[in-house]
Amino acid sequence: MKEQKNSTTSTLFAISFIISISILLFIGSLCYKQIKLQHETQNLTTRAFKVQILLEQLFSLAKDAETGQRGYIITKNTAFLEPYNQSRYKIDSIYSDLYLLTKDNAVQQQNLDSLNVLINLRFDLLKKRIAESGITAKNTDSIYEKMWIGKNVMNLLRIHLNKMISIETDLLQQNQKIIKTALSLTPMFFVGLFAFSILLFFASFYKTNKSLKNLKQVNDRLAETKIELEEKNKELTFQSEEKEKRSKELIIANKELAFQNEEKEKKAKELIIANKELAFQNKEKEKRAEELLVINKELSAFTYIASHDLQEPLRKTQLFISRIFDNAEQTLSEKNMDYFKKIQASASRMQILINDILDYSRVTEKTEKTEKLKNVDLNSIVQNVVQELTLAESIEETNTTINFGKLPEIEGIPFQLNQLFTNLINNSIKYLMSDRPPIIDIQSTVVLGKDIANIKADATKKYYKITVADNGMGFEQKYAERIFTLFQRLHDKQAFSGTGIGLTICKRIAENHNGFITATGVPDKGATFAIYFPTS
Amino acid sequence: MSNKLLRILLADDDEDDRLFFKEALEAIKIKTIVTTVNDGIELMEYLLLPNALLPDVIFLDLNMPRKDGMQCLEEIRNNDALKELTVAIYSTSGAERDIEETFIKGANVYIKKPNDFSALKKVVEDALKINWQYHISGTNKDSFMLSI
Repeated sequence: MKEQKNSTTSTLFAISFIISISILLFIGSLCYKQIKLQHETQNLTTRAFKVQILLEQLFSLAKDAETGQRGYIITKNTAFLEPYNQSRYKIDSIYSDLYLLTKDNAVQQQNLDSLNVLINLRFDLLKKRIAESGITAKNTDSIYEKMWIGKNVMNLLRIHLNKMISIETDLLQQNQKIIKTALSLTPMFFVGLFAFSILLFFASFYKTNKSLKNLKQVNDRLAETKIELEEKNKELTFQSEEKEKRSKELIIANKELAFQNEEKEKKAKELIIANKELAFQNKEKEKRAEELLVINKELSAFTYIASHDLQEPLRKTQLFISRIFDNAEQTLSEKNMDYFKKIQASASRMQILINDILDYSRVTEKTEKTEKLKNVDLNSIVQNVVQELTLAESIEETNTTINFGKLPEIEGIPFQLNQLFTNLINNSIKYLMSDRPPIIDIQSTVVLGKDIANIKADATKKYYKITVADNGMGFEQKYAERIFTLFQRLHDKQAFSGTGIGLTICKRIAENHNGFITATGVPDKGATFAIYFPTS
Repeated sequence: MSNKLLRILLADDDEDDRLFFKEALEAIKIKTIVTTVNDGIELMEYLLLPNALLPDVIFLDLNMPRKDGMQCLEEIRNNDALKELTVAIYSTSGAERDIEETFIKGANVYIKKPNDFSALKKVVEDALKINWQYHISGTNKDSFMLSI
């Protein structure tokens, strides 16, 4: 766009320049023509004046010659002939001058020719008169005549000269007119030229100035742009430096990232390995769990079958002994009878042991279908147990008193709860103090889990605390945990029958009901068992 | 009823037990005719014989080789000709599981083999004294287990 504008501007500029030059040339040429014309006219005027002067001189010479001739004639003094002789030469030279001067003018040339004829005629007349003066004039009339002729010729000459002078005067006037008009035009041309030149000058000055200004502006702008460019360059340099820095930093960061990535990959690999290991371990655990389940089942089956199958020979042994007692009581010696009684006692003990193991294995099988949780009234359970034990005569034999307060209803397995109270009451009866009849007190309270000093207690729950307290021989508190362990006994079996399973079964039953059992004992004073069942 | 011979069938793999059982029956006042078989297969073969003389009471041991007492009980209760028979379980096991299962499957009474001969005599005599006509199976679990 800008370039186009520039080119059009320059074209315009060139055109205006050419036009200006043309106009200047035109005006100049006009001036030149004017001056030339003036010059020529001046020449012509000068020539006309000269011609007039020469003509006047010619006439005066002619007069001089006449005057001299007259003087000579009168005086016969040759000195008078002097002007005559001189004028003749002078007239010839003037004539030739005139001839030269008027060579452009055909009319004047003709007139000059006629003049020449008249002059020659006059001088011829003069010559004749001079020549005649030497002879004494015989005829005055001829002299007058001759003088008249001379006067006429002189008049003619005079007229002719005047005619020529008037022609020149006309020429002069004509020239003056031309000069006048030319001169009147010339200043105008000069003024016009001057004015136009001034105009042109101003125009060019203005234009140049404008261009200069523009140039300056453009220059300024260029300078500004240059500065800006330099600044931008600096900026760019700075930026590129920054970029280099950044790129270096990026490279470092990239390396760092690559390193981290490698680390991550490593870790991921390690994780994969660890995961595999875990998966393997999990599988192993699952396997183990399955194995454990199988083993548990097998164990429970084993316990059941062993107990069952163990009972067969034992029962038969007992049966055979009972048959011997029935049939041959009299025939046996007292010693042998003792032996058989010992066999029978051992067999009975074996029987109890097996039954207890069987009981324990039954309470261990928690998943038994027949042992679904039901609402169980502990009052009726305890009543039932007391009734059974009364039937078994163990209460009567020992003169035991059993007191129980109001007991709660809980969710549980009836036969297990039955066994629990049976075992606990039996335990209290078994470990009675021989100097006093057993008194067993069964009570229930509700306690908060957080108030129970036992790690098995859930602080967020409430518990029924069922206590079975007796006045028996008790135990040292340090054995409080041990008495619940399988086959652990505090006394030898001669002093107290028992298998060391009963309390373990109690513990197991309490746990089967999401509860737990604790024991506190004071030697010779008594023992208290506390069973905790969560409320609903 | 006591004037009439009671036909007793005992299925037990244990020779000694069969012997004790016979001796106990001989020692009680009730007149009986005892037949014994050694396992479940023999029992079912005997019962399914054409023209078989069906017993008044079957004493059925649970733990037997080849075919156990539980299977025999099922087969008897599923057989139209045999399902009215009186079946007394006669087992060493006192397990709740076994007692429950045989009760559900329709046994009439459950006897745990005692470890004393006099007890044996008593429990067999008690079992035979039951008026089976009024002792309908599966009605009373409390009287199912025959206590010694």
